[in-house]
Amino acid sequence: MEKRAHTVSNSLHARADLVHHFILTAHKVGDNVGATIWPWASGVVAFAFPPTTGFSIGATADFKSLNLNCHFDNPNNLSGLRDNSGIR
Amino acid sequence: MLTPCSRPEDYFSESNSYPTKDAPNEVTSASCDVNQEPAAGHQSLVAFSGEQTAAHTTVTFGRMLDTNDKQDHPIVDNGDATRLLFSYGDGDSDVLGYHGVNRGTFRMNLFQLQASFDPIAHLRADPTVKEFLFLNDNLNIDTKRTTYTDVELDLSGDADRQIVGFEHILDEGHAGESGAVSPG
Repeated sequence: MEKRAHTVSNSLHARADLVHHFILTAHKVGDNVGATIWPWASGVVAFAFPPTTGFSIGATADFKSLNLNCHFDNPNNLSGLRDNSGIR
Repeated sequence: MLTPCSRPEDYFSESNSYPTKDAPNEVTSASCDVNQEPAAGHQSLVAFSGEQTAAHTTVTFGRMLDTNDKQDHPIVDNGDATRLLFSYGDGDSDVLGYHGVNRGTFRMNLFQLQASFDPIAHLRADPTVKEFLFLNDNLNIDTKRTTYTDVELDLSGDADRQIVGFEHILDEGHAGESGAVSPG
């Protein structure tokens, strides 16, 4: 399912007001800390690796898993909100 | 605190000195007439809104591109991004306090806001590049001020993927959600 979203929105509780930043890390087996492969905060635009390069992950690659760390900043202590933000 | 009378005010300085507040508006029609001698300084800002939470102070305001005021700089479309400065003073009052290190500068094209640069346009157009979403799954946002969440995705059983780019996805909110301000 594809969801498009914009950092500027007129919806009442857009996550642009609540999602402070993401840190995407990649992990090897038994590696708790991991390697930060993409940090995002408001104002950061999409990122593309240079042509012919990329980051390998999967069964035979060095890195086996991803972790999405999200900082929510809720200064008005809003309740009852759920979130489906993340990284494409 | 933003008080009921808080509003953007127009100050001017030509040097690294304390800026002086422009005179209150007395004649407004003349200020828009390009044939008039520029006014010697008047309030050129129009306030739209002001809001303050524990975390953020948000003030929105507008002004004419060319205020015809000696004590303003016209904002011109020269095809380049406009240089903008900001600073904020110490303390929490309506007095304009010295900013110290609380200052910054940035550039923004005020005339072509829609023509934003998309660094992954070539990836979107490439049919061999597949989309992969890694999103929070209906995650409950805590009412606390600060919350860190972690979601792990095990790909060790999957065929290798080559990540070629990233893009953030922000949830737009959901119809019917309460978003209530919790007591205390």
